[in-house]
Amino acid sequence: MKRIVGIVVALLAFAFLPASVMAQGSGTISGRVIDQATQAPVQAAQVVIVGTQRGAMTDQDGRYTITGVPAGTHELRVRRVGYGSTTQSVTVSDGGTATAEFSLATSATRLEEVVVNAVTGQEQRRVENGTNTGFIGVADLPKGPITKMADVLQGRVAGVTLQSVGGATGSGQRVRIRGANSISLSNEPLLYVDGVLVSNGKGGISVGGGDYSRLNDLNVEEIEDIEVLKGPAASAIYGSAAANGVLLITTKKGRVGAPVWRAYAEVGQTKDKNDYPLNFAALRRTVPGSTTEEFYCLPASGCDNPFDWVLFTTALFGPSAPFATCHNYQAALAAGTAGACTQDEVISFDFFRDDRTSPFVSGSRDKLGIGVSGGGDALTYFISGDREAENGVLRPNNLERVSLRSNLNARIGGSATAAVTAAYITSKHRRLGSDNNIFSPLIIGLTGPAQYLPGMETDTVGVAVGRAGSLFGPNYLDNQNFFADQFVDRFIIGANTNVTPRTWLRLNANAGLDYYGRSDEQGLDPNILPIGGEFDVGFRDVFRSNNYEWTSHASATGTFNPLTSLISTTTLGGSFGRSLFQQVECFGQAIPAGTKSCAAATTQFAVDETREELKTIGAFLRQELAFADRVFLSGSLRADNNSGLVRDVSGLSYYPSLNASWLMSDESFFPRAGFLSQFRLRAAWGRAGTRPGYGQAESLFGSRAIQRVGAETPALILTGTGNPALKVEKTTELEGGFDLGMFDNRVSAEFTAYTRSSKDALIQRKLAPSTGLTANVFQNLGEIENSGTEMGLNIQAIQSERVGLDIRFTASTLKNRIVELGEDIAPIQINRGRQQHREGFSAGGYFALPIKYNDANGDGKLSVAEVSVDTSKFLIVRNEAGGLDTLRLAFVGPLLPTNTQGLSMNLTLFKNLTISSLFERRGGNKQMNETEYFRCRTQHSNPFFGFCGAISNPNASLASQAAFIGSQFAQFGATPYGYMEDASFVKFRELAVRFGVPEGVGSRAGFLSGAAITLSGRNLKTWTDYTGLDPEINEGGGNAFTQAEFNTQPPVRTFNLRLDLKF
Amino acid sequence: MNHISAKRGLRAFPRLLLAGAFALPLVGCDTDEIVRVENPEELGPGATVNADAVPALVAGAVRQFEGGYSGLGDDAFVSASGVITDEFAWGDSFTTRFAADRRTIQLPVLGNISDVAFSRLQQSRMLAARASALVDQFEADLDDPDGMRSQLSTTEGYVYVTLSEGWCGGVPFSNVPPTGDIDPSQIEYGPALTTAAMNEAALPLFDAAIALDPTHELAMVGKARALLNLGRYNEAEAAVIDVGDTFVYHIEHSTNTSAQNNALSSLIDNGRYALANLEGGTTATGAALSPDINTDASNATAEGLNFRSAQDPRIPYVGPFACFTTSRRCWTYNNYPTFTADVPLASGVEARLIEAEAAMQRGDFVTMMAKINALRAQASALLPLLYPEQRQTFPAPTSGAVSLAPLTDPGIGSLDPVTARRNLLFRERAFWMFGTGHRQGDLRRLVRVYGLPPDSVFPSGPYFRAAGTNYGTDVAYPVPFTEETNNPEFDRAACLTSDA
Repeated sequence: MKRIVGIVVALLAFAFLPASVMAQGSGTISGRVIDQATQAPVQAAQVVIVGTQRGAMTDQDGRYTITGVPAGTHELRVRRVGYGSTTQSVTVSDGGTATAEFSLATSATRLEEVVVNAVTGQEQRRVENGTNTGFIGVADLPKGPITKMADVLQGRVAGVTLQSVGGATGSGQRVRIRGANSISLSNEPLLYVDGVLVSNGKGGISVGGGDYSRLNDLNVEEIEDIEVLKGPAASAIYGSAAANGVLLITTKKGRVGAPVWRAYAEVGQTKDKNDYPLNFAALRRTVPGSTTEEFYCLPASGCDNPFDWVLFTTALFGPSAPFATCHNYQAALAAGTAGACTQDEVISFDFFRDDRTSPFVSGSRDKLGIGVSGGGDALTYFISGDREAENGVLRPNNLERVSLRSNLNARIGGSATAAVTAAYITSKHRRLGSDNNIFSPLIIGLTGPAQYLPGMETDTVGVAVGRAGSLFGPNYLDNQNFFADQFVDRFIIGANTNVTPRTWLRLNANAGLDYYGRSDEQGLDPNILPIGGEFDVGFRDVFRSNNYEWTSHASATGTFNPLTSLISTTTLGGSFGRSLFQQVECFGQAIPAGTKSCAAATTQFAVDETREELKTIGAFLRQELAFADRVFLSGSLRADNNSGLVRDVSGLSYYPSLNASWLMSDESFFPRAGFLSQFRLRAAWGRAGTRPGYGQAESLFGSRAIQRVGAETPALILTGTGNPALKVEKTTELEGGFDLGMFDNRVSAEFTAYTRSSKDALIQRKLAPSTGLTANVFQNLGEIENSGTEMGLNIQAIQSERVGLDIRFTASTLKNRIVELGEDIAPIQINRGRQQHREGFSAGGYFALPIKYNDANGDGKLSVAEVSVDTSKFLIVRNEAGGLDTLRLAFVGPLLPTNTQGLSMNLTLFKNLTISSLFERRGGNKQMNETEYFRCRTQHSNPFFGFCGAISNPNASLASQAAFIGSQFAQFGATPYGYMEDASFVKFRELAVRFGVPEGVGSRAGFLSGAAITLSGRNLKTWTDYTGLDPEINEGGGNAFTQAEFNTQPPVRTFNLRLDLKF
Repeated sequence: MNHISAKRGLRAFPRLLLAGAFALPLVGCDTDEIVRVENPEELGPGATVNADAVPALVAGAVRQFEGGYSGLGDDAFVSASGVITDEFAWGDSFTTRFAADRRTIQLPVLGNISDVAFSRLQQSRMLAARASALVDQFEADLDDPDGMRSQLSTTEGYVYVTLSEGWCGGVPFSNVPPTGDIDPSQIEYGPALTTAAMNEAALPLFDAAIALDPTHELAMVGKARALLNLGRYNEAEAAVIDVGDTFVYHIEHSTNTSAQNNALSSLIDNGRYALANLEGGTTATGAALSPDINTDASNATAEGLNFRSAQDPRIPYVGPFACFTTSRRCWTYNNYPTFTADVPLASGVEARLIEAEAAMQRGDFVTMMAKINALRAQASALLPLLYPEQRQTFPAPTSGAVSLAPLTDPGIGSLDPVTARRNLLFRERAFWMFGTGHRQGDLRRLVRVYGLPPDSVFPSGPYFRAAGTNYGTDVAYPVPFTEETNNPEFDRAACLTSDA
């Protein structure tokens, strides 16, 4: 630590060197900013003195004041999201106050907006930046349809893809920016909130799926905007964990002026509006004249046992049964052929839409909050508190969360500012056993019978041979007896100070802590669910975790004018970060009813402890040059070291970047085309890293207990095989593009092409088990490429006093490819072998033995013989000897969409009525319909139950019949090929209708100065050819690549009513 | 444009460079030291190189073997070898267990229930080598270095025997240096060993253990088991001559941690497996038995033994209950009624049965029957030793003392005395050592050494728990897929799961 202190002191010392020069005389600039068209005040506009760090933000009346301005003439620039920037000269006298008024015109271009670098604390205009940085003005979004933080990111920024885990309340998402870089490590971007690195960690107790996301701890109501640094070209200075991009989240700040109170209340309803497959049985009569009613119950049984009420088939009751099953593939055989049959009766049952059995209920959500902001020249404040609650459509699944935030910004004298941000979040999340969990209502219904059975809807506790109509035993109501809770208490605190001792020099120091304490608790009281094992005696399982992320940065920035038309900005700094995760687990069985402590367990008691720590230290140098405010060049170099590497082996890792931006339209030679108002060229190159995790570089032994001669004895075993030669995985990115402003900047367009390559990719390669080592070791072996394009189009289609229409369209393409896994590294299998990391193909792509079908007789049914292996799709790969090998395998498709489009529209009528919508399309990727694969295979081996449509629905598609035959019959090797389906979709994500109270009404209401009511909907419609539950949900949300739906709850439809008040 | 004095800017710029030059050397400090982290809960290889760590490393080698053999609360050799034979039947939805019970092992790439056990057995071997090196290094500081050596040698011997009985005849054995850091770049890939070679490899290890400790009965039985696998009956008999009738070596289980649970008990309790009865058998149409019921006591064509319907005190059970897949019925094996029940790895009973087999092989049927009947006469004493937690239920608790009637030589008066005596001997082995990981090795010996067709001893014909499907032809488990893709010496073609 002494050395770190030394570094920081040295940085500060050198930074203060020029400050010894006495300051000259100073004055004040003040004024007002208004909208050119409406003459209304523009609040939250930034007014800055060009070439300096000095500036102010306008208050709700559009007024601003900048104090401590050196006497002399200055160029003053004003910028605000949605407006074009403007500048004017102002002369300040010693001790005097100069006035500068601004009138802003709306603009669809964003070049004057500012990006704040969380590492250097430095503000940089977008026009100066050679990268394409995504921006989401969260404060301006209609909040009604946004139910969680992840909704903000969905469909709004080209190149950012959210992969939803599912529709359960509290479930999380994967965030991918410009594809996936790392095969074996995280592909999640870094998250910074007001300069503090915050965790998006997972872990805790698995409930089968339905993973959550710490990203969603963040309260949307508190957020001003989000900057998306899409990759190393923009994020190089963030160092050895920034290869996946960075999300810079800025929370709201107070503005100079009287206190402004804002309050809102929101109520909503959620419903499951998805289609679920039916359970079928197709039967042939073995007793002439028998009717379907007869097989409901075995007459001799008395019908008092659930298992008497089953399919009355020969498989169960021998040849005397009145019916035998007749599957589609048997009915497809020619009459007289062995095994051929006629489907005399077909029955089906819709478990999820039958009122007697449907597990779905109406969910609800409510949210309310209040906040106040304001302040004076010396101190501004933003304080808010919010509470939200949501009940899911399956029981028990709910979430309660309270968020508190206090942001204080102070001006200290004329040359220093300080900011302290503090947030507290507490939540209670009751999670639902789902996905790969026998208590999941989805799996119970989808593997159930083809008919309603008496007792299905009741909790028939104690039936010796299981529950009516349940393949695995649990009733769909049983999960209500469990609790799987997650309690979170989280603090995110940060302090930032900027000192401007000289007009040309700024010092920045930033420190913060993101802490969360998480308690995951799962259990069951005894004698509630007597279906065997721990369910009889009750159990309790608890994970108590603490996670700390410490962030600290210090930097000094000097701005100089070596030449009249050249501005040079140099930043030198250092950073230190530490993350620490601690966890203790306890487990025990046979607990007394009502107890909520492992200490009450009387058997199977187990404890475990985890501690993982990572430290990173870095130093950086950044140089920017601005030529005539038209050409901007910058370069940076960061050096990092981190604890994921073995000491004295790896050395420092270096991350350089270069970027250039040329505002060509400001050049005198640029043709003044009538429609073209702005044109910028840009290019950037940079490198960032993905650091190894804890314990990946060193082999570790751990202690386990073994009983020997009746006594517990410690035993040391190898718990992890490390690789001492491990290095940071480095990703290099090159991007280039242009920005256009047209028709007086009412139309703007941007285009970016990028290519990035991850070399020394950390591959978690398998070890041959015959070595006696553990299963995996990390090695720097591979190379992965991502390339693509991004496009954005903003159109202010109509801007009149009565009607306004803004349209934003985004699009992206992505090509992801594993160039090399490494010498002698075989394709890496994931997700039950459905997905592979294989050279030459997209990471985690789907592979399977291909099949094809031909319904030769056109009867709509496929026999086994009408399905065959499709040799034309076999992969041909080059072998080590240089020859070609043909693999009995086909590449089916990638898991990440290869193209996405987003369309959002805002229609404003008569200033007070706004209709907003968001559509998203994704295409080019596949989704594994594991739900149907499992259902068809499992049901087929259980004659007690119904069958999936592919087996017994005479109207089943040929594709689904072929998929089943491929999965079931030995000659096809249980191929999942037919269940890897096209996942393309268009989703109507959001619709919001907002009515703001007309100006003046509020003032008549006394204290009210504004009010609005918003009716909104989310997940309103999906258009897709995918036949499963949903094309984008994912059972493996916590994994980097696993993608499949497996009895995963699909998204729900939400309607919200929201009232906003300002006073 | 900008009105900051260019002159002043140029003056300040050298100062900044000067300051930067001053600061940069500090950045070049020992950052390794700054970012160093410690985890007191885990140890690097260097931290295990001391005398105090040696007993724990020895225990680690034993623990991984026992975890591979009996399980760490999960599937291992005992359950895997039981379900591929006629001991246990599939009770849940897992395709791996379904595949094993149906003798249609999944493609290695999809994984099998035997994979984890394979890894643990190999880890035991690696740890044993590492512990042995440390015993040599710290011999002077250890209480009983020879005892540790014999223990490690015996453990390693059992690893070879277990792998030979459960897996195909092409198991590779690779190594890393037993001292120093564990570095994957130093792996030496070894060639695959055949079933016979694995048993041959076990013999010197058992001999070494016995040389260090001439009373090491576990090593004696292990040696005999290897010799039996090689068809060297007289040597096997000689190896166990000093093993007492009451000797039992238990793999101990407890509820201290879930990984110490008796895995078979846990899996059966969870409905993953059922105690089987008369598995297999062919009929003209459909399954030999009504699906899932197999209670028929007289299925003459079944290859599987009547473990339930025999109502033998060596295999008590209760049931039926709902399996994990509750539409199926499961019977619970009551020699391991709790998670703390210990599993006999080797015993005096096994030693006597080895002697009986040797006697049969040399035509001494009197001795053979005497050995068998001597054990049966001691049933009431031996069963509590073998299975201390046994509950005598069929399914109702039995009353009175446990007894097994003496048997007569079935060869006398038989038209096929060889078959009759062999079946009797293997039946006695099956009933005495049920659920202890011996049945798969026995059935494979019947094929490999005794020359019987696989489908005549392993369950075959229509598979009773999935209508319309048949038993496959597998008799052994494959080497895990990750070996195939990471060991350049490994040859999948040499690893045939249908080859006994």
